[in-house]
Amino acid sequence: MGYAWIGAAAVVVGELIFGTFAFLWPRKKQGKGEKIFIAGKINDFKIGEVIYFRKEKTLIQRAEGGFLAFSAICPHLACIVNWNEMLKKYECPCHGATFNRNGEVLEGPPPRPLDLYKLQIVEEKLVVDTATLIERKKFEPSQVIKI
Amino acid sequence: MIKSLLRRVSDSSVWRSIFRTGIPDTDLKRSMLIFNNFFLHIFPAKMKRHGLRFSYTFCLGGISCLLFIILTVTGILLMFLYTPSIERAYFDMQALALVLNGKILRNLHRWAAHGMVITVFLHMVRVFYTRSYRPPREFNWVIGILLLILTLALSYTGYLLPWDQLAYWGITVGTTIMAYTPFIGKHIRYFLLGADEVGHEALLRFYVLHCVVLPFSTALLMAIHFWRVRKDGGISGPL
Repeated sequence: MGYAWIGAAAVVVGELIFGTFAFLWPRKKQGKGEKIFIAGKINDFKIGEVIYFRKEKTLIQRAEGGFLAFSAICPHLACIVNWNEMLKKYECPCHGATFNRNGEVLEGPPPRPLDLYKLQIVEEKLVVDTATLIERKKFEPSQVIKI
Repeated sequence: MIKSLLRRVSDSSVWRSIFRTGIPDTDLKRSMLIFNNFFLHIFPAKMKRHGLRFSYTFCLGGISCLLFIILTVTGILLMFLYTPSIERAYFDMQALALVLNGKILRNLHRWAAHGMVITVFLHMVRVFYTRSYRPPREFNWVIGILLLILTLALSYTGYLLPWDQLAYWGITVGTTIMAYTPFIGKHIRYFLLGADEVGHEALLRFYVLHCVVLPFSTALLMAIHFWRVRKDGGISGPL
């Protein structure tokens, strides 16, 4: 009989704790369509140019033979990296990390190069899919999306 | 004349209903005065002489408690002029400068918060170096550690509320560190922020934690902490 009471009390307390966490667990956000955006036409970009898209947190770079779409979110602790046009490298303001133009770590704490977003060129337009994040160990020329 | 007036007041039924002891003219009445007063009963009626020595405790626990009270009072006043929404939070914080005493209240809150982190830490150091964590006070040491964690949590959740650049990136970095926890890290971050990144949900969550959940938990643990100091035989003996 004693065990029954303890068991019942445990169930009630467990339900309260679970119920509280379940209540506070965030809802999933709707609207996956917003994750794809068109960055512009191929000819809008000069060779070597890097353009930052603030809302999408994406850096589009026109490399020698094609394009790279970087996530601007630093792989260390999620600050936003900036392109330094003078020194030709990406810099993170939070912990001083720098990346070369291919996104590889030059100095600082990040565990991997800048992540890429899936990029497609459709009818001369750059279509970036920010839902598909590509983590990589190092830069390879095949990562550049050819024109 | 004045003496008889005072005596008439102190003998009146209204006065006696509040202060039951009467004029404390004997040692017994003096100690009863302490016991029968809600605010004074926290203090012991008797204590050891060394416990009064400033250089033994440096009053660090008391200063921490005082700072907590200052933070509660200034915090409640600031709550009247603050809205936890990403459109308004930063401007509400700036608009404090337009209110009489607004800036001084905000800065009192800010500096008392920094001070409390320091004094709670130094209090812990003092307790450690005087070996006051040993039996029978070992559980009170554990409560003290929980209070240190709550103090840091209060400090951290308050950091987001001004909604400036420092706050936004401070919380982004801090919660991403949490996401490095093995296996459940990403879920902890998602649960705490209420979304995948720092936004309106995070501000609201941190606001409720900062103004309700954490202060209440801290006050409860503080009450137990002080009660146990007395029950464990008062302040610890000198080395």
